[in-house]
Amino acid sequence: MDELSGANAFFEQRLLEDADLVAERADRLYEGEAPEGTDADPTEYPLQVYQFMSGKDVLAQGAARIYTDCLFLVKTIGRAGFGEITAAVTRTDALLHQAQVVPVTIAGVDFLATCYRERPWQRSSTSDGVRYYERGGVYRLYVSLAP
Amino acid sequence: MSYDVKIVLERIPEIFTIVKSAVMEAELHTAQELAQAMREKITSGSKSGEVYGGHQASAPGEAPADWHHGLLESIGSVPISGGGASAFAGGESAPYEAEDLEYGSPGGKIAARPLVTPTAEEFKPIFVANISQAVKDAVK
Repeated sequence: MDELSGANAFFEQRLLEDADLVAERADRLYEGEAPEGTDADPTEYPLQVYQFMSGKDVLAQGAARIYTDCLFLVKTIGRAGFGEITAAVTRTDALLHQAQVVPVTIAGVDFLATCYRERPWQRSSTSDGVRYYERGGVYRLYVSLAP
Repeated sequence: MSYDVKIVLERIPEIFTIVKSAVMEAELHTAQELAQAMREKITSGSKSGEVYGGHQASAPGEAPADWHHGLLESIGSVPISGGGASAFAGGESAPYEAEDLEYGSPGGKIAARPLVTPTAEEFKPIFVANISQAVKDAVK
């Protein structure tokens, strides 16, 4: 199984298994984009999206892949102002920005992940007459197959 | 009795000027290369997103496809006053287009097609190599 599967599992497991975060945005965590039609229903917000931005492999002698170095944008999106999403953003950062290596297992395959926020990210903009408030960060993630 | 040898390089100010000029040139050259790489990502390579009225769009995660040329024509590079250089996409010709493609559309409705971030990541080692070579050439 490839490292990006481990990366996605890292975000899914860290952000879906935390009771505080679930209390803020239920189970509305999506990879890439929210499901079609979500924007038509205000009760579908706040939600979270994590998005792969960039990645590269770090190799050793013999083309042995040591780990994959990637960037993800993780954003919490609300419609009622930044105050609505502040707690979720703070909790998300606490769960993702980790000083220690985090083990992740998906489909019986073990990965090791190290993650930290490289820069904060924020945007507020209007689309189809609706104001959206988005805040989060660009996270650097090193992920490898566990030895 | 003691003896000493003084080594004084009298050309330090001159060398500093030469190196500074070479580094600034390398910074701008790297920004120009980065901008060109972004243009090539838009205009070449396969796109596998949906088709809108004959336009082949990019899929989530791919570099954007060229459509009305706004994003393509917005790409550029400039020296920064006081040092450094900037490569950019967006600006007046495609302000929302560039932001929505890079980070996804507002509300999480459309996934991102990042262009600047992955290209900048790819250019980190190229930037270091260009600066290193420029300094070596300057002090020969």
